Amino acid sequence: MNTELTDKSTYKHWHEDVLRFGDMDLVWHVDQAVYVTLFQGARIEFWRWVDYPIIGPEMGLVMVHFQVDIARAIEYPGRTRIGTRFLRLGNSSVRYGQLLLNEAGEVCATSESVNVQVENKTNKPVPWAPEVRARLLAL
Amino acid sequence: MAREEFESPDPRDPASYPYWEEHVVRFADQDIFRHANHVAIMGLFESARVEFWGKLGLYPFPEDEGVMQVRTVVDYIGQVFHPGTVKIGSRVMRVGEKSVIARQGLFDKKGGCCALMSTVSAYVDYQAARSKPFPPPLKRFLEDEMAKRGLPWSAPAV
Repeated sequence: MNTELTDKSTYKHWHEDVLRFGDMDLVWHVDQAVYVTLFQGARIEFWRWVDYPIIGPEMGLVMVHFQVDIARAIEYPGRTRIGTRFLRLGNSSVRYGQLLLNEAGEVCATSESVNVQVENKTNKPVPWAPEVRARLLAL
Repeated sequence: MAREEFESPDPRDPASYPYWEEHVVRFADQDIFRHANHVAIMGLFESARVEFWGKLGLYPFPEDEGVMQVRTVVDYIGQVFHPGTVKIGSRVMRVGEKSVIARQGLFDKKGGCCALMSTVSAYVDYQAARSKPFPPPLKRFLEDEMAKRGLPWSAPAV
């Protein structure tokens, strides 16, 4: 696990979710596939906080890389909190770092993922506009 | 086609529910219509119902015998959108010798009713995979629950 991602103080944005019975698998843990959904929801809220449209009529973000390290099983019922931040900004891509905590505040998982901004019609990468890039780097 | 008339108390009235759970509408709950898909809404009802069973002492499910769902009915009344939260009310609607009907209503943050669900759960011997009568104390307990209602309605704090 990337210990750089487990430092709670490095996250300005946190998103809370409520676990569902259907999130559990046969061993009474939240299934690993659900982590993908939880991290996704946190990134969506992160962009709403950033106030940048990631699903636009002309272009949007697509996922090209996703990895999860699981440190502790998440148990139902309960709530989760996910911190999200940028790790790196490329020409048209962004790498995120995320930290998932359980209701007790214990570290359950970290994630790194990469989105690329593309034109919807062609799926070709679209570089960040200079003013957007400056704003994102200032976060 | 006209919708069937609802029973009394009106399940669209939040004041008819004594138990409440709050859930978050997830981005992944949406479909191409940009509203929460009907299957996702059933998942929200399921989770709230398990939490309701928990408050009644029926969950976590025992290993030997307990409730098992045998019928589901959903009425979709309004759309549910992301981002947002919903509140789901639950109550015991009817109790039979071997089964119980749970009534649930899903409400948006303004208190608008978006969907209703009723589920029939049989009391089951899990090993034998057969229904069986409720133990008398449990049946009486569930019958007492039938009479419970919510407080006079005020929009839930979501």
